Amino acid sequence: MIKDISRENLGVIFITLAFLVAVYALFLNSKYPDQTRLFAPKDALSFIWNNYKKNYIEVESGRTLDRQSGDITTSEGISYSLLRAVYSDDKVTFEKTLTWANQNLKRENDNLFSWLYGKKIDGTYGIITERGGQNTASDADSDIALALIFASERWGDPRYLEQAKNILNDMWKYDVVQIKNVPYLAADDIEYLAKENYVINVSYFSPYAYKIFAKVDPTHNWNDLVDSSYGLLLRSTEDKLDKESSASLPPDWLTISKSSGEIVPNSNDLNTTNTTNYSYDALRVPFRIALDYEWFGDPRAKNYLSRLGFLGNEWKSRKKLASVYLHNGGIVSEKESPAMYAGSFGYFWIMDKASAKEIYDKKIVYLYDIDINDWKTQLSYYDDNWTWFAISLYNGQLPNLAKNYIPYNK
Amino acid sequence: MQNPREKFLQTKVNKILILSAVLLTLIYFYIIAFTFVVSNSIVFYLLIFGEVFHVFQFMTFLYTIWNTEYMPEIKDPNFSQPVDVFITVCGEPVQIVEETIIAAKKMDYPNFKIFILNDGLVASKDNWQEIDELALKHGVTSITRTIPGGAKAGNINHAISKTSAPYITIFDADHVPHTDFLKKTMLYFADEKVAYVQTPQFYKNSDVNIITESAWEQQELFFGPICKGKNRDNSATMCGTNMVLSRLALSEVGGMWEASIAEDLLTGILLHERKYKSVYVPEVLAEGLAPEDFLSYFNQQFRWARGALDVIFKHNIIFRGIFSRKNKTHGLTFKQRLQYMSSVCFFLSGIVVVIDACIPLIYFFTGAVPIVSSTMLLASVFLPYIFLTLLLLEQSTNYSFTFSSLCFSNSGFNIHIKALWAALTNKKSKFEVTSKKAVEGNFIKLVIPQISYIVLVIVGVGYSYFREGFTASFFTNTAWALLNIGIFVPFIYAALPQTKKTELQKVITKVKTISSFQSNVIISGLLIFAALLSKIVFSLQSLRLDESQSLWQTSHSPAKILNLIGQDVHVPLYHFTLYIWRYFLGDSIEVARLLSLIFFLASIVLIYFVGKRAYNSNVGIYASILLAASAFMNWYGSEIRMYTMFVFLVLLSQYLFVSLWKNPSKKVWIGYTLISIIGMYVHYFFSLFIITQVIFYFLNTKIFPEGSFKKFIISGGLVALGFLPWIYYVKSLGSASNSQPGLIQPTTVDLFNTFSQFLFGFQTPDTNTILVSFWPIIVLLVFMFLQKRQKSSPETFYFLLSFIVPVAISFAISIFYKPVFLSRYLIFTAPSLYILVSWMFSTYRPVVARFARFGLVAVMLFTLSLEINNAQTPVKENYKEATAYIERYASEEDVITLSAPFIIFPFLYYYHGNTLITTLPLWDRSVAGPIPPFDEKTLPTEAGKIVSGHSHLWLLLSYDQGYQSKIENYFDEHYQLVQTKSFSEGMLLKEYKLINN
Repeated sequence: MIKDISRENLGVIFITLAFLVAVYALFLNSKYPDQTRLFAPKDALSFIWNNYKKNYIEVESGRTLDRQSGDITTSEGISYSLLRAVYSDDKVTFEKTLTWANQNLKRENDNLFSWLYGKKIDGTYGIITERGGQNTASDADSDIALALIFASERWGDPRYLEQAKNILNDMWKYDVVQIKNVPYLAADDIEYLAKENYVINVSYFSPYAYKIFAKVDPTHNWNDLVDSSYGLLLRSTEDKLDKESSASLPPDWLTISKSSGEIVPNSNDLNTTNTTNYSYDALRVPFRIALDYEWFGDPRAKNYLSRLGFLGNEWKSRKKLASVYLHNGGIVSEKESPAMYAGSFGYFWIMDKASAKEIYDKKIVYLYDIDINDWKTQLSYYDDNWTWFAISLYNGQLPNLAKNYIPYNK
Repeated sequence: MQNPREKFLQTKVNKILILSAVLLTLIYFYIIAFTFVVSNSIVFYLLIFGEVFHVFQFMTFLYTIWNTEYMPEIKDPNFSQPVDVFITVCGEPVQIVEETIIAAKKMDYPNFKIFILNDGLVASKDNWQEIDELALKHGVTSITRTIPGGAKAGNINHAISKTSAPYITIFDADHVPHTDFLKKTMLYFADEKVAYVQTPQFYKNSDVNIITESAWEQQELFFGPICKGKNRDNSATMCGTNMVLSRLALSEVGGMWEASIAEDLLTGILLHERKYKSVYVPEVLAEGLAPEDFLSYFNQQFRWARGALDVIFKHNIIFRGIFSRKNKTHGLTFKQRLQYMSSVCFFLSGIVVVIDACIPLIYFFTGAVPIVSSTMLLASVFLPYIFLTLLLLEQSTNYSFTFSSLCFSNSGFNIHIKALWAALTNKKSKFEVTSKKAVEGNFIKLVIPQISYIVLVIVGVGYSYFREGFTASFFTNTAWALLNIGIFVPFIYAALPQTKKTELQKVITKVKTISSFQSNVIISGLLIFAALLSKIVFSLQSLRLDESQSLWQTSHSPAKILNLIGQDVHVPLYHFTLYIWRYFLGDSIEVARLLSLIFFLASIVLIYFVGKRAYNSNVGIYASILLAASAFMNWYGSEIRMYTMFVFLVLLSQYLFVSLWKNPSKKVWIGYTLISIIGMYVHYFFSLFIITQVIFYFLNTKIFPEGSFKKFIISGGLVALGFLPWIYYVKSLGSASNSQPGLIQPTTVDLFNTFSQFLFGFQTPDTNTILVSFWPIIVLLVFMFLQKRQKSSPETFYFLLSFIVPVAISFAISIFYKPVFLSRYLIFTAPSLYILVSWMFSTYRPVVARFARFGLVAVMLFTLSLEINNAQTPVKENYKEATAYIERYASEEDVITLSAPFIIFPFLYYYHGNTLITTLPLWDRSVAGPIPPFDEKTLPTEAGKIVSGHSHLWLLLSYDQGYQSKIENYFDEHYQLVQTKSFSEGMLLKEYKLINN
């Protein structure tokens, strides 16, 4: 048999084999195999949004459900749905979601929203008061107000602006606390009644939104809120808090003294669920601050983000981020989470574009499968939202939609 | 080269071809006469008159050549009755006569006497006495007339009275018989009804100059298929020389007919009338001299014309007795009448030439045209008709029919008209013996009509331009006029003083083929040219719809790509290649286009080798130049589609397929099979190419080595086997995606645009009209290509088939089944066209060839630059700028609507803004399935959904699928139009203010 194959033929076979091996080697070494190539990111965003609606928003009612937490509905979930709907120019979903929220979450005596709705112990559906569900969550109030302002801009509907103004007004009544005449955004509407300390969630701080609110609602001093937010953010990040040192990461939760405004490191208000870790909550800080820089170019934003070099080092040295870090930089859980990448992406986006692209390629958009126009595996409610925001930010799809109030001039 | 004495007599013609020609001629005539709207009826009927004449001529020709092999049976092969050999002399040079006498004496026949029929005395020629002395010297009898009368016929009749053998052979003074002349002719006289036997009038001096050459080439057609065919109907034309007559038969009709200068033709007819038989022996048995100067040629032709026309107008001998009851015993048969009529009609063709030549002139000076035609229907029937006609002429003359004989036959219209005038007025025309010695000088006055025509055309072109500018009629008529001029020019040239061809020139100058170094340099230059053009022009263009789909498709995983392509109208190999390509080299448009460029460049090299293998390196290199200069190829050389890959594989297959008969080996078979399988995965239309190869094989089985059939079966089986999985896969997918623009049924205009695009690229409709209006020039180019040659090569037939068959099949499928006709799908036939054109040019005379090559490339480069620079070039799709414009001016409060919906692909590729994008009809791409069809009823609902909540609408329209204007009208009516902007041909952006909001 071998004799039948002449030398020349053998040569041809070898060259062909060598070529195939070379192609295979190149294929393996290519930087592309572990990355999703989006033909059009806008397309992906709209597909993800459509799937999100199917998975997390009840068609008939318009209620947004957190499927991973016993089908509860949070005001935060509502705010995310509203923001995504207005960014997607999806008026139908926006209207449905808003109507449901106004009917089921809006509190009777003010214009703010109860934070938790779902199946109560008695089996009926409603505000879960046994878990303090009737209280507000100030991030949701602010995000809903922002979404309403955007909607009024995009669709020219004055009803939305009216409601936004009402919310903003009541936020100053219940969500904002004053210390020595300096306003701070508290975590909820019960802090202003607190005796000693205020519970603060720095990941609720949205300076970009306050700048818009300042124009919409000139009766309140929103710009002071911007200043205080940046001040407290910096302090909480640099402070060692309840740890021996700080890795310069923002904490999930924080308490400050009602009288002095100083950080209270070991308050009773912090517990095993509400910690000073950099995780589920605080991951939103880099994103929100990045947005402020993106929209308004606030130098404080960049200055703040420059402090978060820990994240850059983590990525560069380990090519991954953990889902939970202690305030001192210790790792609580090696598990990776999409939301952690998506939120922290804000830091990279402003400070280190190359790493940002890497994270976007390998950790964020990688989750998407263009073949099925959906996530490779379904994401949780929270992951879905933040990954969507991150993809939007990366592709210029997260602009300030209220340009009529503040001209966008980056 | 075959012996010119034999070549033209091998007249085998394919009967299927003849039947096709009959059919095509009838179709052609029907279409031209009955389907067009008549514009100016006078011009129209002039045209129809000409066409009726042509059709009659061509039909009788086809009838004649239907069977050219008939020969009467030989009753007695040893028949050898006494013969008197007459050599008619009337002042010819002594040495010419002497040569004839010597040869005649050497004839191998037991029983003949030679007589010199010296008419020198009565014709007052100086050398009459010398001729008598010459006769004495060679011991032959000289019969010198002293009383004139009857010209040559009188001379012969006079000699008849002085001689007695039962058979008479006549040679003109210059016609030198072969030794076997009598042996090969006399035996037919064993049948006593045979009155005469005619042999060809061969010109041995045909290579002296263009006049002798053309004169002989005209004879070839006549003495080849025509005379041979006439044998069948017992109507061999008597030609006055190189023939044998029966004295008895001749005496029955009173000798040679003296009253006409066409004594031979008439005498022949008289003999046929008396039911005598004639035989044409298709063998050169005597060799004479053609007229060597234009005057002599002119006079000879005039004499023939006058004589022939006398047959009709003076003697009415063809039709006489047609209704007579005695037809059975006396008179011509119907077939004989037909044969004579067709021969005589040739000398009326001058009138038709003038009519046809005048039609453009009439247009130039009055604007009157025969028909109204907005399509290319005329061209689509005329071109096949004329090509088939030429092919038959070529085949029937064994490829001896040439451009110059065509020119001489058509350009001598003034001879015909002069003869007709003389015949009608019954003016006396002198019998002048064709000069056997060149008369030197300038005979420009004989071609004044032809020159006047050129002048009239030049004036007319200018005049009509100022009257109506560049219109389709202007170009078509100019092209027709150019065609006529092209035919007249060689004739005019022949009238100028002729220099004799030197011996060196006579040796067929073998054109030097280009060296491999030269071709390397040229090809390198072409590659650089094409690559640069891509780099600085084509790769920078906006992404087009098809390209965006390629990018979109190859952004998926291999399995999904397979799935998408399976539902599309394509096969997957290109997409897989692009997928891998993008993996390695990145995602940019330029990178993706580079893949196509590589195949384009490879094709430039490969076509050279195909041309070289099939013909020679000259053909290869010019084909390569055509490919590289083609605006069409350059376009697809930088398009993210499979087209250049397709071209490359087809060329590879061409190379191997030609090798299958030229240089077959096991490797070639394996390669051929492999490439066929691969090709099938590059484009469905590769199958059309394979079909062409199969057809070619069955028509040319003989040229393939033995055992090829088995190998083809195995190869075909493997290809089928190799393609089966894909068919199975596609079947299993079921539905089609319908994300492609719909195709519409092609017209003849599309057909010609396709050819035009292959050479001149994509042009605006106006430019295209100019280009295709020049179609009659194709006829001239093909005319010029008619040269003496070996039987046309199988390579040529192959390339012709591979060019025509796929185009024809896809056109037919589009008409009768469903539209699939797209010039880009047929791109693989373009290289065959380049090779054919290159080969055709290579057969021209060197000066003409140089001119043609340079001219074509110059026009191609010019149209290439037009294609590049003209923003309205129809294939340009400027989504890049349209999108950038929208991105810049549309706000988030607005909404963008795209129609047709599939343009969302290129749009999305470029659009990074935040305005909502919708389509019309609404297309929810998260739902699987085809794009919903447009429905006028739901338009208001859909439009309502779109505009709801928005302040402005940006309506981008491209790829009209038949409902674009309805959408436009709807929005125009309901909303306030703010601006309209066009970005490229067929791409329109409209901005509306949505007041209702």
